[in-house]
Amino acid sequence: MFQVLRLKMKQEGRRIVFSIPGETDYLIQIRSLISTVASEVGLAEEELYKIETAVDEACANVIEHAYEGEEGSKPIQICLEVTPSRLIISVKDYGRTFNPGTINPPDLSKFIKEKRDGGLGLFLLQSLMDEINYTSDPRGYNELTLIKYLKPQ
Amino acid sequence: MDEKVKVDVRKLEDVAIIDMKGDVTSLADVPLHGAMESVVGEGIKKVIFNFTDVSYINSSGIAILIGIVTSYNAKGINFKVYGLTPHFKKIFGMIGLTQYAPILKSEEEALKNFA
Repeated sequence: MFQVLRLKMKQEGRRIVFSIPGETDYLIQIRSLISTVASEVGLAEEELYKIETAVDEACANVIEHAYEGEEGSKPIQICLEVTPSRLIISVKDYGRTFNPGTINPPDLSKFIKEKRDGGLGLFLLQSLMDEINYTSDPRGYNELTLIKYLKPQ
Repeated sequence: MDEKVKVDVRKLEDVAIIDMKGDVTSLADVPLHGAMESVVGEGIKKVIFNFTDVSYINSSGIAILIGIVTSYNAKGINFKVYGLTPHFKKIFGMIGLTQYAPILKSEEEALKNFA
């Protein structure tokens, strides 16, 4: 199915790397893949939904902000790594850098005045995951790392 | 492109029920605002959002819903919500949407909750 969708996937040791075109049409496939991997590492359904939502938000942010809505212009690379204590998901893009600054709870009044998400996506990421880190590499890419702690078996 | 979200309006006496189907994302902006304009244009003051057939909601979709409930709430429109999955119930609560639109278990409960 995924070849048809031009989704590239390869396994590098303990890491699985996916590359998708930066298009919203691919987000449903990404949610499905993330959900499968999260389920295989034994995460509870509630945690699984949180990770699925967080990765979807991270990719949607790339398309909307880093790629400035130019769908399919550049790829998004997603890397999944499972360690004994963590599920680490990194989302790499080749677009515009942003300054995450301080992520505050969203201000509902901004929704009315500005008719925009007002940082809601980032707030969700922070709330749904145990850790998030954003780096911008001078070689021309940005990487958002999402971490979920795994309970000891 | 396939239609990703479908929005229909049902009326039960003085209540409008907005049935959504598919993914509630930025694509829901036009149909949801259109539905609200038609409802308010008819003088209806009680609105129920039905999420039973919604498979996914992202932050853009939530932002649209917040925009609608806060702006129409200020104009005297009352909202109720039902059909959300436990995951999205938590997210709605976390964001603060529930202070404008209480979440009920069913359409029947939502209708009763207006009384």
